[in-house]
Amino acid sequence: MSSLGKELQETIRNLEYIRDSQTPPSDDVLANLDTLYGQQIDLIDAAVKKSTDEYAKATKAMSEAAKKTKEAIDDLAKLEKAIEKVAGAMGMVTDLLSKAA
Amino acid sequence: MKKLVRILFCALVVALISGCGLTNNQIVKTQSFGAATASIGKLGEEEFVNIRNGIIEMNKELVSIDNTKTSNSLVFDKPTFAEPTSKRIAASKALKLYGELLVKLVTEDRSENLQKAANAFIDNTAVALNKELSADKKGAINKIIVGLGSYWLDKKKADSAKEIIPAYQQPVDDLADLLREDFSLEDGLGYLKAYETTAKRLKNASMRLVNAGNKYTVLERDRAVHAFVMAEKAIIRSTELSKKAKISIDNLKKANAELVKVIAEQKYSTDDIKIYAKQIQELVNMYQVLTY
Repeated sequence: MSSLGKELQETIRNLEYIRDSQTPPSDDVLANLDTLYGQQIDLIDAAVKKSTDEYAKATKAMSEAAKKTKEAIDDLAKLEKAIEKVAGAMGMVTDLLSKAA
Repeated sequence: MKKLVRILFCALVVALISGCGLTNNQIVKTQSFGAATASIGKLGEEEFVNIRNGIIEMNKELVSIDNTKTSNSLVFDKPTFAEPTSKRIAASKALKLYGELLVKLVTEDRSENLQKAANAFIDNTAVALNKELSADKKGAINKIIVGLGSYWLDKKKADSAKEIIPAYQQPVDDLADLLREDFSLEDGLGYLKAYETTAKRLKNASMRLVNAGNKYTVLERDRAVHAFVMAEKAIIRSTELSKKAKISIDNLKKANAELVKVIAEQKYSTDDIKIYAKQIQELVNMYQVLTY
């Protein structure tokens, strides 16, 4: 079963790969990674209920983001679309975390 | 004839007394388990503090090199706050002291040393619980330990070990699993994952400056390089620590299972020891609840 933590981790891993293959790394990728790291720490800190709709939606959105960033590894032309997906997923995680706080 | 009967009687008594202790195999397994328990307890006790301190230091560096961050945007010790950290340390310490108590139970001939080990265990459990144990709870343990300083020391120690060890099997396994979660980097959302993530975040922020050509001054670059190296070291350290913890926890669980199997070879039972084991079980249950 997928979890938000796993999907977040996968998205981070993909963006790290893209960052490390760019010289210099793009500001967008660096900024998105910074937010994702922050969310991962928030997720460790928060007591998030996994049985809620918000959790399911955030997990699905992050799973999509992980998929799109994986595609961008093979084709950098897809990076912009992938970053949009990541931004959307991060918004859902922010909503989830704010409700858990 | 009377003399012969007396000699035979003495020999029988000696044989009975010597047969009352633990077998060599039981002693070796108890020592092995005690050492593994003490080892993982010590690892947790030290590393929870190191992880928290490391996170604070890296977040200070992050604010220093990333001008988008402010003092309000970062809680420097998140998520390793003082209270959950101290509870984890107390639980690790109690686990370590339990291991040491078991080792002393099979190796220590002086009852006062056993008493010291038991007292240390009681004291630390009180810290983990954040309250003094009641006089009757302390008294029950002390009474048994004082009782060990008798002619039947070996037998009583063996009886104690045979009651305590099975009673502790599940709580020790559960505690080991909790530690595994805190030291896992794979699926974990525990302390070590937070440490690694903080390090990756710092590395990410430092890369922006290090790779920006002549956009920043030498001093700013120097600061960023320092942060980059700090982050890299922390990432490597978290990987090593995770591996080390995994080995220690696997050893602990293996030793626990083997010990329970071996210790069940002979049956002893005394009411006093049952009460002691019950008291110990209650203590474990109480501090285990705190770690969830």
